[in-house]
Amino acid sequence: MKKLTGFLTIILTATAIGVFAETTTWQSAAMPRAYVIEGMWSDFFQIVPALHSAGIRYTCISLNELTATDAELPQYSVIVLANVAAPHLKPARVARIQEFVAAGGGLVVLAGRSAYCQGGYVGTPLAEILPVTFNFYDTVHQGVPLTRAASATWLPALDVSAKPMAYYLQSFTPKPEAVVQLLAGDKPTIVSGTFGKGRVVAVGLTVNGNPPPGAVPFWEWLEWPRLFGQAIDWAGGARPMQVASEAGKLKPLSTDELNDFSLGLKNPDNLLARAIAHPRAEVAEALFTQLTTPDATGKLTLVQALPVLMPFAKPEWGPRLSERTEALNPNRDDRNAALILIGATRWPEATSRLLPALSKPETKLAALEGLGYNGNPKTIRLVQQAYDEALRTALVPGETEYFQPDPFAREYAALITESALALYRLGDANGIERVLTTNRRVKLYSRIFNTASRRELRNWNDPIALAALRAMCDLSSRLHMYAWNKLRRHADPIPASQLAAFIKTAQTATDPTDVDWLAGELTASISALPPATWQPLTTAKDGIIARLARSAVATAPIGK
Amino acid sequence: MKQLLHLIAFSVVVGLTSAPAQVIELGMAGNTTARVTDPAASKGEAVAVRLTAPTQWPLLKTPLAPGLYRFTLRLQSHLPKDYDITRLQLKLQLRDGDNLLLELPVNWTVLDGRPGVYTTFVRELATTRPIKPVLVFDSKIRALRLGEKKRPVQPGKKPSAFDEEREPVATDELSASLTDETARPVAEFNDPSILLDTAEFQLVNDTLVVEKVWPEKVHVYPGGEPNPVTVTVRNYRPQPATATVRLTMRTGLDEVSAPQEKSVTVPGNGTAICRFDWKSGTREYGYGACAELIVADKTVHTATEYFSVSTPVWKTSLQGSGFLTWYGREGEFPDHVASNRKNYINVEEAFSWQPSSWTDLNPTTEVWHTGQCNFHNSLKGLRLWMSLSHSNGIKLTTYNWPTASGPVGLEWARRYPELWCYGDVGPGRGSFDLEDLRLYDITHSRPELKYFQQGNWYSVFVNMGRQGTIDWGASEIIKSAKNFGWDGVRFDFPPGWSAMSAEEMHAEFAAAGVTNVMAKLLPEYYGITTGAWDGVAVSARNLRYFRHRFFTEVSSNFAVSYNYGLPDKDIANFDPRKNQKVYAEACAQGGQIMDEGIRNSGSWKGYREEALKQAGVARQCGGFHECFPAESATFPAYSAIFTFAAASHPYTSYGWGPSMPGQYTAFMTRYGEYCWDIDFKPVEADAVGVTIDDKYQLLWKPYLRARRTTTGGTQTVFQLISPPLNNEVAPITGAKSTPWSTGITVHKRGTAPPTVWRLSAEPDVQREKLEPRRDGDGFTITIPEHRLWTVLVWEEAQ
Repeated sequence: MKKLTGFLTIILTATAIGVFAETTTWQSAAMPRAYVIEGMWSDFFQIVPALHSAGIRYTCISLNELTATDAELPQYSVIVLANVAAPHLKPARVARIQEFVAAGGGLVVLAGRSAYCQGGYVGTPLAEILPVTFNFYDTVHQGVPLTRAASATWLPALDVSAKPMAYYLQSFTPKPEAVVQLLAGDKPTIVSGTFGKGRVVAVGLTVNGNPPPGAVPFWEWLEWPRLFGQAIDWAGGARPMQVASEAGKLKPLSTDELNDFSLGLKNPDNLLARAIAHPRAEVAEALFTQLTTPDATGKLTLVQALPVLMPFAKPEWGPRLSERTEALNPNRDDRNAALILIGATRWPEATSRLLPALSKPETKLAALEGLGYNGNPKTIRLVQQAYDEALRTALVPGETEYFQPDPFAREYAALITESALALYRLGDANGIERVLTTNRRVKLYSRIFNTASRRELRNWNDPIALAALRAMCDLSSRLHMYAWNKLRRHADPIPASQLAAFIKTAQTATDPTDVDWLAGELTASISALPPATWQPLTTAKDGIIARLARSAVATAPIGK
Repeated sequence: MKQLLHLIAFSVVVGLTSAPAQVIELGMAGNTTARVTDPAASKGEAVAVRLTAPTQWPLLKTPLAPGLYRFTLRLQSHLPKDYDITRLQLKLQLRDGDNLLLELPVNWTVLDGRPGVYTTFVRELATTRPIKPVLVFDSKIRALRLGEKKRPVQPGKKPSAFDEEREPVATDELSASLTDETARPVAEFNDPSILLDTAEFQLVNDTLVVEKVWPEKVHVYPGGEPNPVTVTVRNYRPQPATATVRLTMRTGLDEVSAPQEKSVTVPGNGTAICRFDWKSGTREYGYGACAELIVADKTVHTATEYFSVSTPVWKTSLQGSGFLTWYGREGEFPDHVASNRKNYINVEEAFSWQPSSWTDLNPTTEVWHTGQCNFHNSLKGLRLWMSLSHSNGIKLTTYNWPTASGPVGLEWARRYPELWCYGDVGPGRGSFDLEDLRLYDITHSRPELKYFQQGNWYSVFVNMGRQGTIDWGASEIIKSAKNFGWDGVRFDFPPGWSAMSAEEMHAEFAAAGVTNVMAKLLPEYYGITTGAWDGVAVSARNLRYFRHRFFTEVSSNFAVSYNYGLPDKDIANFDPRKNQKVYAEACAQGGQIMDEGIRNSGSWKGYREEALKQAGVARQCGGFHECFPAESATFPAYSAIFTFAAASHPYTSYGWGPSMPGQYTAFMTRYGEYCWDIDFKPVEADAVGVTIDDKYQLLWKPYLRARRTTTGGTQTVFQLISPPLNNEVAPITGAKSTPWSTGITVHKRGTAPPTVWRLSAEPDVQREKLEPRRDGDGFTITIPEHRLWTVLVWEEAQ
């Protein structure tokens, strides 16, 4: 099992090459994405509903989860700081945010007792970027109503009949050129402006306060997510969406290079990255030929080449892969990669090669994946059995939703995930619902493990706590590696057999975790199918799916 | 079995001890024993019991008939020089089959440290059916504590994992001794062992006895609180019997109440119960409810049980173990409270039991997790603990820490942002984890996820400068006291604060409607309306306002405690009117100062000096003082002795742990007045003319105190302490039991013959009048036996 992690890591690393460089050179995007750094009480701001309302995909990171780098920022259009203090972000990240905005990114800053004057913004680049100056909090115990400012530009017309109120406000003085969008009483409380090529929105509303019975605090106001979503969308609107891709910087492999490689004469520079960036059948064929010749140079392994080979796998490869799937093959990673690939070849004898591997613990996961790619509906029953057995064993006795955490993370989450994905690929009628359920479960336990690991980390000087932390981190990484990452890959277009079910599910999905998986799958499939395929999703309940579908159908520019 | 066998700890028999003692010479008992000749043994021989495997001696061929007996056993340790006793634990029991008849408290504190001297253990044993007692001896090496270095138990041997289990049987000498039927001189026997001399059973009574005297409560408040006493009389004979039960209440040294008498007919082989009403008066401190059983005008048996009377409870407090968390352990509360009662614990603290330390002490759900430390608790457990404790007169206090903690605390903080503290950025001293809070309902409701939520503590520090915060905290405590029955509160962080704007203070008083109250409570500060109230004034506002609300809205007996220690420099320059006003304010109106930091003392010198200094300043301010025991002490009795001698009170332990060793709590319940009464003021030995020969190496001078009696005389109290031979609280090697003394003489200057009382907790509660002899410029007394701690009360008429 441990060895399998190797090739998965490499697959992911290879996929990522050239994408996450730490630079403000934007990555092309089908739609805007928000990077949300969450502080105390940020849930009250309804950030997630706002982002779904506006159709913006997102990553939410709480302050406790912040990592040392911002390497992934070029993926995003807009950063949201929700009641976050500058010192907690660290000076390097604040400087990075400034660069991000100057290059065209958006920034939305929400107020609270850890932001603005209480957040140490004075004297930092944040004070420079923001369209307001600030120095104290206003306390209005009885509350003040929110109204659209006369000067508002992008803020939509609001229904304030519910009398939304705010209680504690960050006091703002708009800078010249800034535009007041929303008032709290007679005070500016949402103010927008620009910095460099980017856009910035300062929000002075806080979620503090003890509203009297019957009052509607703004965070419970039904219009708030739409209003706030609009602010985030506007802020991210200046970010260029279609830019020269990283892939474009890598040269395709030439015919001469491929020939030399096939003959074992010379390995082209940066072979794998170039092969992934420019997927072609002849590249896959050359790699397969070289890898399966008896005198292969050994510098590239089947495991590493899997992402290049999988889309172009063909039945003719079956016999040559067959021998590598045997138990005699001492390289377990290679054997597992061969099992997956042999499934993808759809070689008529693939099923009979995969089924024996299903009964062996060390090859079970690869066999399940191979069976899924193999597409033989007759194997649905066997895969379903594997799924049911893993689920039954992992669940807490008598429960239908909660797992025994240790066995689930160590073993069964991977089996459940791989079986669910295989059933989805095989066209099982409940395939998509099963994947979504698995995705929710894996995500929940992944969050539980990650959070517990963070907490234990604070007690690292206690040897018992340290041992517990190690165990926790081990569980967390296994769950992440074998289940969560598998579910996030979205490497394949939606299987034809699942398309109708996918569209039906995506039309009505509202759970953010479901939507996230569906949007990932949709993104991976948009270009593979005719745009009209996605027409039914343009009116999906969830804003993110609807916006993705609209972009596919109309190829309309995203962002304003 | 519990119904059949009763150990009466403090009974005295008058008459009817006619039967001769059955003296049992202990013989060999399997291959772990050897016979040795020892001149110190009663018949010149003893049995050496190796520290190897459990050893058993059937003591009697014919069973003991039903009755009350006195069991006596003489033993001494016989260990090689430098043998490490810090981890050696001994167990001596009397059993009858599977039934435990009694356990002798054999530990290093109760063994005489003089070489070659046997210690005599005496315990009473009652049985209602025939029994054949078997003496069982066992020993074990305590497991290493976390972080404790492994070391050899026996010198010359490298430490090994085996040390944690048991000393190996490995010497040739042992093999020889085990097969040798001939006794050998003890001096030549070098195996680590315990030497057992004779065992003895003496029939005390086989007709009628007082089986139990039971005041309903271990502590009551003065001024009329009832404390009825039930007396259970046991008849060991098959025929019914009639007797008179006479109850007297004894307090002070020789104060005795008017007797109450009831006639009782006890069925054959049965019991009868008499109930005597009693209410407290104004006399505080310890009481002994003494029941005499009178048959045909002769007292045939007497038994006494103790309780105390005081307000606040701190005056006589013996605090139990706090830090309990009870979800799933509710069923242990009956045993826990019974153990508290047995050990004379009269107050106990619920540590961090509440949903939010400052802002929510009134859980409304059946189960909850505490905001601080995330302990799991239940209403069922809390109410059970409270009712069991209260029915025994044990007071329960709530813990308090000035944070809004846990999910409910953070929600409070969101609603009231002006009532908590901020640092340079964000919440001062606060912490939170968004994801953990989002997952809270799942991780805290699923048993299998317990490990994934343990130990979190999310909080913001409340702003105790604000009247609103103080009001909120007081209201929560008061509501909780009414809801659950708390008898007091311990502020783990004393609610003092720093300077605040005078205008703001007055505006807040007006907004809260407390201007008149504050004018009365703070006459010296209330007139300051501009500028600032300094930290002392703001702190005084907090402390006085809390007390005012507690005393008027809950009870004038409500007990308030503060975890508060003063640094040495403040003690050196201590002046409660100047530099330590806030400390003095905390001590006012019966406040208690709790010293938690003392538990980390590494040396007994440090512990005793700290206790004496800290208790001294608290008493100087009119307050009460409390000490934690020294952690990991090899001789834990010294925590008790140094605490009590310093006039401080104990917080006995953490968690569900054991109480204090020995009979110290029983002793202090009855005679604590002579350590604790605040009227006892320190006196200099030279000034009052006291001399004790230095050869006894006693600690006593720093503890000498005196008070005037109501009749105009003087009581001088001596605390005579034989200090531990090891200064380290937890010595790594070479721990030695303290040697006892006999014949210590104490001289005090004086003209009129004094009345001198010797009080001791060792081995049981004792009070003895000593005969003073005129000697030079005063009088001298001789103390027949002194173990570790003896209290002398030297009364002199005006």
